[in-house]
Amino acid sequence: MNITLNAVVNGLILGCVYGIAGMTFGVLYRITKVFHISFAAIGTLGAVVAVAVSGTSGSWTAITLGIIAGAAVAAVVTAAAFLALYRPLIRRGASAGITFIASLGAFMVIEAVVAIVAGPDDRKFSVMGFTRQSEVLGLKLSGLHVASLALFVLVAAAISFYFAKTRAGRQTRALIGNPEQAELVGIRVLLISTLMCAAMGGISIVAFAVNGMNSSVTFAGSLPLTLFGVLAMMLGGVDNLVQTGIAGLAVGAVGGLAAAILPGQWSSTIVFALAMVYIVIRPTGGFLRVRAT
Amino acid sequence: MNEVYLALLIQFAVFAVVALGLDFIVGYTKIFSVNQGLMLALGAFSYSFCVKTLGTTSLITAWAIGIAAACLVSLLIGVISLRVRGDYFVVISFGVQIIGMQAIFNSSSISGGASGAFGLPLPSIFGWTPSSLSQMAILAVIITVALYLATALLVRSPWGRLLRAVGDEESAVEAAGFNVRRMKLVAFVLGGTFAAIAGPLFVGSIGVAQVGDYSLGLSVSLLAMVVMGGAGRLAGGLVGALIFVGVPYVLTYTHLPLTTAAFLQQAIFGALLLLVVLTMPSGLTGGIALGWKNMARRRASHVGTDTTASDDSGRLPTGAQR
Repeated sequence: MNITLNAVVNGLILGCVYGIAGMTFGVLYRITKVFHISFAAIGTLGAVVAVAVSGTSGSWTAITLGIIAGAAVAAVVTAAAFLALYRPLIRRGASAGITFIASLGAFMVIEAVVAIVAGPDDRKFSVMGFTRQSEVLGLKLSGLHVASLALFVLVAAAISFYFAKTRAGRQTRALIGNPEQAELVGIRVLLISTLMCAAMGGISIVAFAVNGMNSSVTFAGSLPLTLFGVLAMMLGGVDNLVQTGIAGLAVGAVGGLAAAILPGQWSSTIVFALAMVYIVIRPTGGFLRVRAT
Repeated sequence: MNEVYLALLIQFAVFAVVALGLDFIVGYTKIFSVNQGLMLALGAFSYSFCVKTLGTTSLITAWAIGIAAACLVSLLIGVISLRVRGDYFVVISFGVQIIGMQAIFNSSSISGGASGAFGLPLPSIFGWTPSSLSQMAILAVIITVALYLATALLVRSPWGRLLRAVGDEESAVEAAGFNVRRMKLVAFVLGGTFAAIAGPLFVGSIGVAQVGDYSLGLSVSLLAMVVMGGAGRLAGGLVGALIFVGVPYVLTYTHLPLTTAAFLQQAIFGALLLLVVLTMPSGLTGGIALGWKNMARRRASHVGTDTTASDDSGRLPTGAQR
């Protein structure tokens, strides 16, 4: 029983990562209307920078600095992808399929360049004692577990607060709804879109870095992480941040439970299969009656 | 011919067939599916199943099993595509690829698990077994040419033109009373069938079937291959396959470590894909065709200018001279 419960808790912690990836991908998707698959490669780039900057000291300060550096790089690259690739294509009237292919091309180039320049090997964060587990109420928890949960809540609260309570957030909602009309009423659509792309690209590094601390930063792992994030976005409903976050947790928990009951290699199969059935039944996603954000 | 070139020719033939099949889905119905790697794997592992479990190298048996499996999975994906569209379908498509490959990996009696199936012999057809790589290459080329001709006939038939119309203006085709759903399903089944035909040829020629060779990355590269060559164009698949097979070969001359060369190849494919999307939306073949047409038009107008110039040179038109 305890093993199963621990597996679910571990899954929930991983779900925090999926939730953060889902929420940031969701905002990017709503702003750019592009299926930004290069999110995965930019995430790898940010995580690789974070590992390099954080060094081997293993202190929280070094890791925080590393993540900030990775986030800064990811923010710049995401904004550049929007300005130099997606926007020109959208202005030319490119279809969603074409912008997806463009993003796929960017994914291939960014990932390959990072691997060639920095080396293709897996990388490990020097997290020292943060992964050491102690028993709390029969559950094995580590500092990293607590930090993942805290970061998930922080990111969800920050994005929700931005959209609900700030003027810029209301303007962003307006431009997501109708960019032409938003421009007409004086909203600086290009500036806000670019800044939001940079912000979401930067915040997403939290997910990639925490995932890297849980295991390691790998080139093969970024696409599945992104896909689980996107799955959370689809399950929660693309226009609902809160439900996207909850869906991320659910995806992680189901994966953890499946890993405890079935052989490990079936866990992502179960998650994808269940999620796909849900999406086919309810393509718009969403499961609670919560106001869209 | 050198064995290296023969192996390259077989690979070109295999990926040309895969591209021709994928084009039914991506080029004609304009559905971006990332499953062709899985379909190729179904064909490949059906052959390793035939060799290891059934004790036969018959291509026909491997095709029967592989095509049946690919058709079933394609139908499932096709049915999902009718309900979930656009970007959401891409995610579902990624999901099917992951689920399918994990299922194959976990069925170690078929796939050989992590180590894969080794020592696969050249396949036989109608009791004839190629005795050398050159005979295998001839067989692969014959199959590719036959499928190319069949595809050419199909896409130029009324059904093919209708399929293209489904991709361009689905609602108009539906309003005209045609069964769009069935057409999309047939496109998926054709795509799966072509890949399942290519699979046994591929593993039969290299002698190995490993799950790792049919990753998500391969499916992404196959999609890139078709778009690069020119989706919805017969020659597009061939050009895409040529690039797909040719670039890694050219990179062997750089003597880079294998992993670096693989990432360099990925960077080149990605850059080509971006170049195509930004400058030639109809792919390399479409871009070349357009360039050729423009050049011909310019030449024609140039000739026209010359005629005018000679008219303006003082000579009167024939009638006036008279």
